[in-house]
Amino acid sequence: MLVTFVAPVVFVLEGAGGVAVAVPPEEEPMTTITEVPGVAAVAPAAAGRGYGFSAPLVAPLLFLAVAAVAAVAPGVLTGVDPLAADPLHALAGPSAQHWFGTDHLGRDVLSRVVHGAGHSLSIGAAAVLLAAGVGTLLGVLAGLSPRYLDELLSRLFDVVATFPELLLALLVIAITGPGTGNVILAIGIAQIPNYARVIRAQTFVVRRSGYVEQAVTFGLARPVLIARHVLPNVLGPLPVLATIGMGTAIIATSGLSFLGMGPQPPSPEWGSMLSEARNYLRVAWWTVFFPGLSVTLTVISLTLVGRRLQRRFEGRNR
Amino acid sequence: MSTLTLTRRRGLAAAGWLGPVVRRLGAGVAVLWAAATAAYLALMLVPGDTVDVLVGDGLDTPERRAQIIAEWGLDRSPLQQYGDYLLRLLQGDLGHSYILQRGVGEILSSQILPTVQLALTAALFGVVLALLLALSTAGRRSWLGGLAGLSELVVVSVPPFLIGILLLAVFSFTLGWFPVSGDRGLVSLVLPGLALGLQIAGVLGQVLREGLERALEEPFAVTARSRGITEWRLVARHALRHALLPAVTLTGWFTGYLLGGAIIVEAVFGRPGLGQVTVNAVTGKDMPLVMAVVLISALAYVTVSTIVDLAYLAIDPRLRRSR
Amino acid sequence: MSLIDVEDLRVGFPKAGVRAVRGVSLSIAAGECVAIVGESGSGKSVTARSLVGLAGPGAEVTASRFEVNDRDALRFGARDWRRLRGRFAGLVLQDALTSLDPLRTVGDEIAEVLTIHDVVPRAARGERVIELLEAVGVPEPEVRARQYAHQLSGGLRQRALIASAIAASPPLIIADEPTTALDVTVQAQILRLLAARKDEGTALLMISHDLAVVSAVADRVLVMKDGVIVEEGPTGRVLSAPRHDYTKLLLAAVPSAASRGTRLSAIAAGGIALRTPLPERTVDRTAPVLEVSGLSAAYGSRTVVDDVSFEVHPGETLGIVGESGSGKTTVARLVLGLLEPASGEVRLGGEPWSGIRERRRRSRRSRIQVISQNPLDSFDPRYTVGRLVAEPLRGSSSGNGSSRGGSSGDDFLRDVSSESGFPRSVSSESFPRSVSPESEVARGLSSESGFSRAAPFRRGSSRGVLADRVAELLHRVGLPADVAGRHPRRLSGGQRQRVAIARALATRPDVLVCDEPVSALDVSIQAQVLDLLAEIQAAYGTALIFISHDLGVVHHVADRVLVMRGGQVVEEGHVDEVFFLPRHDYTRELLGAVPKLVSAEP
Repeated sequence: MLVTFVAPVVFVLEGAGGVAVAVPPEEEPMTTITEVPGVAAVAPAAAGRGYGFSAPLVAPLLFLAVAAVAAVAPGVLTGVDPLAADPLHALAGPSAQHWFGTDHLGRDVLSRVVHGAGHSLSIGAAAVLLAAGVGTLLGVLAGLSPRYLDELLSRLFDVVATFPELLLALLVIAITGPGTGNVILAIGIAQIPNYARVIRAQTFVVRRSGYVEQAVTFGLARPVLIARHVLPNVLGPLPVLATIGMGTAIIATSGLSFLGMGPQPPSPEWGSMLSEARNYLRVAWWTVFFPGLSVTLTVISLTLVGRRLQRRFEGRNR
Repeated sequence: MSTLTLTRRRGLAAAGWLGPVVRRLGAGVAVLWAAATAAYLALMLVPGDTVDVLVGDGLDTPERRAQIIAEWGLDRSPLQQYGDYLLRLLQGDLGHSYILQRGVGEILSSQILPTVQLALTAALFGVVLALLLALSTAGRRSWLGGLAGLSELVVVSVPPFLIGILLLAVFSFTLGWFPVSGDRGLVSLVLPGLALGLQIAGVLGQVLREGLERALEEPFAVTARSRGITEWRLVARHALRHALLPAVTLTGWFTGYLLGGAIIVEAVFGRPGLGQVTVNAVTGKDMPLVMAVVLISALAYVTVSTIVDLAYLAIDPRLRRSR
Repeated sequence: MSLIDVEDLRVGFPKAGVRAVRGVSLSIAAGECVAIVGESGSGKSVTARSLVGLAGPGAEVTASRFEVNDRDALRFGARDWRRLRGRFAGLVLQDALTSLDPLRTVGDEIAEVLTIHDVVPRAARGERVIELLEAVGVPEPEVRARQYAHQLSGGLRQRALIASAIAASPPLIIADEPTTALDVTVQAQILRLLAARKDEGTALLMISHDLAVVSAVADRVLVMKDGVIVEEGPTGRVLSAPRHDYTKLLLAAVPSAASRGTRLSAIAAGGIALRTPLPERTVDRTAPVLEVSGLSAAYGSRTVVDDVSFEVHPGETLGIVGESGSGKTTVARLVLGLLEPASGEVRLGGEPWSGIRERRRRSRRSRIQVISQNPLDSFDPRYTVGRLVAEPLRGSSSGNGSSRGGSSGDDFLRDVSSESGFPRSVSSESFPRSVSPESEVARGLSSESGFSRAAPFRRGSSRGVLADRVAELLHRVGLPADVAGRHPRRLSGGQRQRVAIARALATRPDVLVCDEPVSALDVSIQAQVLDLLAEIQAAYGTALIFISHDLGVVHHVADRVLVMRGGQVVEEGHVDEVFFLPRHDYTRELLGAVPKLVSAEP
């Protein structure tokens, strides 16, 4: 509902709870945006105004900056080779030499966590790019199309959305096989309907808004109208969706890696590190703790930033 | 009031129930058919020879290829193939795993029970925790709400398998309260159920709390308070229903999450179930099996969504209008 | 004996930094009707709600004396307040659609009071609910009790809300804007209902922004402004001989037949509100600028506009009145070319306006503009005021200005020549426009940039000219130039409406459609906006189509009026004729329902 973006967020998407009585027969029944990209986005979305917990953004932004540096230039943060095994010092606890300890093969956990950021973040970002790009395109197309085409596309989104995301991703991997590129494809495809649905609903809201109608009275040609008033307002929630969606994608990536479908060993990736490390949990907590903390903090930071963006967006539209 | 309730029930059709119910059931069936078709098309559109795809990583013998061609009707026209496929599904025949050399239906039915148990346990944990969290913090002291919000944020930001690992570390390894793995009765359901259910509690708790808080600010809440109602009763009789509306729409998502999450959590806890079957099938490219799992999840999703839609009609009278 | 006796009531919201009520004293005797009147933000609602302990979350309430039902409310705990609510005082809020729980039946809502205060035995509750609904004049109470708020009409809903307020027979009803969302005829019924409760001995505290509404019912009136009571006294005295300048201003601001041709935003001076005349306005009767004939429209199978015809001449104001669902807004959309009529025709400037392709309409759209009830909805949320006002002047829409001083007319001609063999319009030249500083600017603009539809605004040099033009328009509507850089969200309701007017004026339209333009505004702000519209009309000879549910406003502004009901025009004519000598029953009913204000005029 509401979508406010969910509108849930709908955002927008105001209101679903909207009073049905007032809806003239011609109107779209009710914009119900139930599905939101990912777990994290669900709550704010469905709640409409909901921001959930929020905190000063300094810490999240700082953390994301460090993570970004780690992803782009891991050499800046660590000089140690993430693949260099040292069986003599396997499962050694944190020390001055190995801040985060070593894993079962004696590899430096800090270095692996830092180099793992590249895999985790880039897979997440690429998947979001794919999902948001295709989803937005389809969503806008549906929202602006004549009724029958919109119906067709919407039903298509509905159908794809009936497949649980992880299972859809697994289906893609079953066809393509494991690996970095295939994980991006799998997660990206699985999340397309989320973006498509939200953007479609948003397009609908904007298309029927008072200001678009007003712009018609200025005599704007349809393409100008769409470029000047519809698209910018439709795309407004995209940064919010993408930020929060990236958190979701990172969780999904780590999940697939955990199952062994992601980047193949020995490349460091947070999810696959966790998968290996859990066998040594009893003797070496640090092998689980640090990659786990990295995933969690990354997702929390992204969510907090996303919520702040959402608040700004909604503040502007109210 | 009892007289009112009686008449309400008698006038089911008149009150506008019939139309929406039929419409929603019809939509559910249509979506299922479309989902089956989509899965079929996906399989056929995979580049390469369909027979190769169906063989997967299994033994590739001429006999097996002949078996596949016969069973999938690959020597016939595409339309006939598709018709056969639908017909088989309708009869409950999910096909044959050429790697395990067993019927897919047989494999799944032997493994589905533990997964359903796990999902239901998780759903129960999630809903109960969410309700407790929301009811105890909505509209109360702000620090309590803040604390709840923070825990919800953390819980939804930790991958479920990590939650599972941490639970194992604390409750099994350190405290020894629960078995480490396997399926040994109800006790062994607790930790996996929690690992899977916590996320639901986090998301649902947040939605419920915000829904409650919003409802408590609505004009009808002021009116209700002006009648001398207690806050507790206001929440129970008025606000909760409003808060449930957005929460209920998430149920479809929860179903998908439970099915997907179960695969991962089963792997963490070494539980038998659909998870292991699926992971093995994906790794071995056992397409008939993977497709069957995907279709079963779609069926579960559609069933739950349809039930939710109907529940919606019960909660929100504004939707009960047939055109 | 006083039901309520409060001295020096102060209510603040420290977190928001708001002091909503700053020292209000008031008492309500049993059986008395007291009204608090004020504009938005005056603190009237907060005052009323504090009396039942519902000032809101985070409110700090203090008073030197606060007696409710002869008990010291300053020492009340939550439980004491709860016992009083419903039993001692019932609350009726503005809109029953949101003030009744939409997920529960009306009967359940009313029964709730009975349950909480255990008014009647459980078994008798159902019956009591029916009796209560009957008492407030709801027909078929057995059926209604089982329905939900959204299934009832506005009037029935409000009655049900009142039934729930009186269910425990409280000696006091607090009604906060109880009729604001209702049509006049329904409003009159609800006011009669409340008056009847008063006659039966229930005390009434009415909160309203509308002096006329309370004048019929209230014994005493308190006028509130900025959290204090500026004037109080018996209703008749306050209305006929107001003492405080603010009261005088409020009374003078109410539009009516008597205020025609004069400014509403009068300055109260020396005891008499001076009415200064508005500038002269001339109506050019030679040819109508807009002709509507036999217009019909339908949503699906429901006909919403049925065979509507009228003409509007340059400089004229045509009023359209009607209650909700009368089709008046649909007429506006038809006239604006936003909706194609099912049958009938609209002609603008003598040329077809309906039934033609949008492409052919586009170039002429600058000739007819609209302002609506909620300007914020019509503003692109990303735009600043300056950008909003400049938009109609920018490329692709219309050029502005012409060598003849007429803007849109010339634009029309240019388009015609560039587009097809469309005949030159004679009518567009037939109404000369007054030459004002603005047209000078416009001329400068057009000669410098000479932009047309095909050449969107892009030259750097014209950017400055455009900014000048925007400043000019803002100045024209009484806004400071620095507003241009601000966002409309940061402006007040009146300022936003001014921005909307500035934007509508940008293309110097021949016709301005005003759809409930002042309905969301306070009386004093409404007065300013109406005065502004009148000035602009006098200066430019714009024809106005003024749509409103408020008969007083329409009588003040309109030359001729259409009375609409169920999509049809039931009566039309000169506004004095229609309103003073109504021929149709419905018009009579409407007029009879309008709350009468004892005029402040001597």
